[in-house]
Amino acid sequence: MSTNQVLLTLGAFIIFSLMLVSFYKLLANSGDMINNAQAGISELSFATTYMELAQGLAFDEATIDSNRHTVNDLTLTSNLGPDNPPPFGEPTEDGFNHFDDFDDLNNFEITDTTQKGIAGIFKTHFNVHYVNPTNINQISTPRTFVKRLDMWVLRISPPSKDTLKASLILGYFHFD
Amino acid sequence: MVTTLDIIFSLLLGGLLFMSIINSNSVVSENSTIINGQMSVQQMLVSTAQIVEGEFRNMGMGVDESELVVISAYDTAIAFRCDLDRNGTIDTISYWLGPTSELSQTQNEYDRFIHRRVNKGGVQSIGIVTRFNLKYFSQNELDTLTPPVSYSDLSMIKIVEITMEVQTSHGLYRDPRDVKMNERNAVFPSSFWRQTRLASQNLKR
Repeated sequence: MSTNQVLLTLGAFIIFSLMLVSFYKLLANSGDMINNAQAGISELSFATTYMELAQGLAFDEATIDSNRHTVNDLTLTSNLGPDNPPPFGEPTEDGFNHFDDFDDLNNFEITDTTQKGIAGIFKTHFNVHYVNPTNINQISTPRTFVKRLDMWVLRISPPSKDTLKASLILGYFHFD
Repeated sequence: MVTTLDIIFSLLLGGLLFMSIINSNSVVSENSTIINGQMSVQQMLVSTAQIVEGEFRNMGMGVDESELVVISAYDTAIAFRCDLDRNGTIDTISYWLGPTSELSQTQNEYDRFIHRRVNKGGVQSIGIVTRFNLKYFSQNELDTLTPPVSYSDLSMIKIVEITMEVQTSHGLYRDPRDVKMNERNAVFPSSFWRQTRLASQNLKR
């Protein structure tokens, strides 16, 4: 083989190798996309589960047993979070099983590895704020009768590209 | 001599290229089967979950506090009450998992229908799943009620956990040498969904 022919062959090989690499990269990307979609489905199932559980909680520690008519009866903005030590006779508020009101979820974080069938480890972080009833996007420092739960769900292992953010609004009402 | 070597090298290189193309072709077909399967199970799961969760979410709507919301609770079947069309009349909605014999013509031996019926109307098949499990809790996720939940305990159901798994009806055959004991001889892409639902909203407001 002459030098030209060798160079030509090597060039063809390099082009062919590049094509193969991009082809396998394309395949890997498709697999990655499917994998992320599954992570998204699982994240959504966690988010809706937590939202549903949060929705089953009382609006505030003060509204569990009695009706309240003034915001001054509600938990102070600076005290949003689990009520520990808990009121007499109640268990320590350290998880969904023992939370009794909506704002107990403030700054709560849960890492879920127990869901059989769902591959991966998922972490969810919660924040609860009082919000302006006429503009629920606006966090309110003074207490109001509307609270917003923000949650971030992400798969930490294997890491997913996206974090799912969901919010839930809970307003206080009662029928006299 | 040089010509012979040229021919041998050409054959070797050509063979290598040919093998690469054959290999990539089989990789493409295997991957496209798996990816298409994954996509279709995810779509099937999401559409079935949307129907189920949409209706489970309204469980107990319009039902008087003194009446039962869940009227029968098994691990693969449930019947509950809600005012479905908001006309003041309470409807009974039933969900149950059909037998595998209903889909015996598919390659997947575990796939089956989820059936739904409103009152005494016709039976609708709303999706194909390989798993549909229901768990019931009284207060929080610590207090499990063992299904079938007895009539006297039905009023205690506060939380329902739904688990669904969807697999493709047709799998990708595995090399019999790779199949171990109690393993399936084909790969079935699958997708999984688990969700907790309140049996009735506004319980503790």
